[in-house]
Amino acid sequence: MINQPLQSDAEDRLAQWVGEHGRAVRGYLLGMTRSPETADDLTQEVFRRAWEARHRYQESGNARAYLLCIADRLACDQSRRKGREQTLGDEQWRSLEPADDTFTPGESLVQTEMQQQLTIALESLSPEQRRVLLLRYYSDMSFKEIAQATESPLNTVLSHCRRGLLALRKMLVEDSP
Amino acid sequence: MSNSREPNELNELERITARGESGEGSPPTLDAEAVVLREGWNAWGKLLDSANCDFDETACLNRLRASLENQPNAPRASRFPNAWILRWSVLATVAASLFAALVVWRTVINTQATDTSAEHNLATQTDVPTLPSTSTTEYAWNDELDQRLDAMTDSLIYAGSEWRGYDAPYAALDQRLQDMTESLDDEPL
Repeated sequence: MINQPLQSDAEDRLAQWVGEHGRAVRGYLLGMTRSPETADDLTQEVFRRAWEARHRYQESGNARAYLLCIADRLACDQSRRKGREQTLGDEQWRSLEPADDTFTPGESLVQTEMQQQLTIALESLSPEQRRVLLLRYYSDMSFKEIAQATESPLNTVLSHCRRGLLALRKMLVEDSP
Repeated sequence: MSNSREPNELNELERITARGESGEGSPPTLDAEAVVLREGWNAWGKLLDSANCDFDETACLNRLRASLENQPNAPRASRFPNAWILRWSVLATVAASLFAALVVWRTVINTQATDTSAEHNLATQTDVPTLPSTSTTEYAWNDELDQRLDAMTDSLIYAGSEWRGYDAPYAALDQRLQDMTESLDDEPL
């Protein structure tokens, strides 16, 4: 009886988290795994774990950073587990993307081109650069916080970021048609 | 050197990748190279947002609720009692089994000991000497023994007196020697 309001509050918070941060979490996982299905599954897992640990979470923290740290660990675990498994890179990923019915043929074409560009851009980054840049893009974490989350020296994180930005510039600015 | 450069690089990279004003423009404080980097960053961000535009938060939440309903609602900490009960029930079963085994073992040992004792009694029963019929009057007054004790006492008294008799000649000799000693002392040299 006493737990009922707390349960309701927790559910409300879960819904709030999904509403506010679900897209960022899924986007991060999509960038890391480059598989929509895996990203969806891991997104569920992120929120499930956050739900299980809801009693330990302190409201004063940054919810998005908290969720993205869970997502980061899951993505790293996934990457380690799948180790040498062939990821859907390049041609496979492009060919598997279905044409979305919500887009007109013209929009679909643009969408497909953008996805191809994204795939190329992600491929141009090393896993470490991708991780740092995705965390920076989707979370509100500073580079110091990213260094703590990834357990890497700040200099290393900054180096990954700069090199990643240079690769993106080359890929998306200099080489873009 | 890298330490002195670190704060500048940190600030610059944070400005380049700042999300707040990630629109088309760029912060005015960025130099030309940083502006190009920010362009690449913004272009990449657009691509990421575009790829992730199919995210359906309602579907995600519904799926999440469904998956949470399939497992215990309580968080991991609250699910601990199930594991606790399972562990203790296993321990209790093992302990009960050990106790039962101990009881059975003790029973078997006792039964064997009883059988052995009975067999031993049966085997040695014929060897046990039968008590004399007078055993019941073992501590009754025995006149014969009393008479023998009296006789023994008399014999000892007699032997004592006889010993004194044997001592008499030596006493007389001793007396004579004393007399001779006195007479010699009295006589002048």
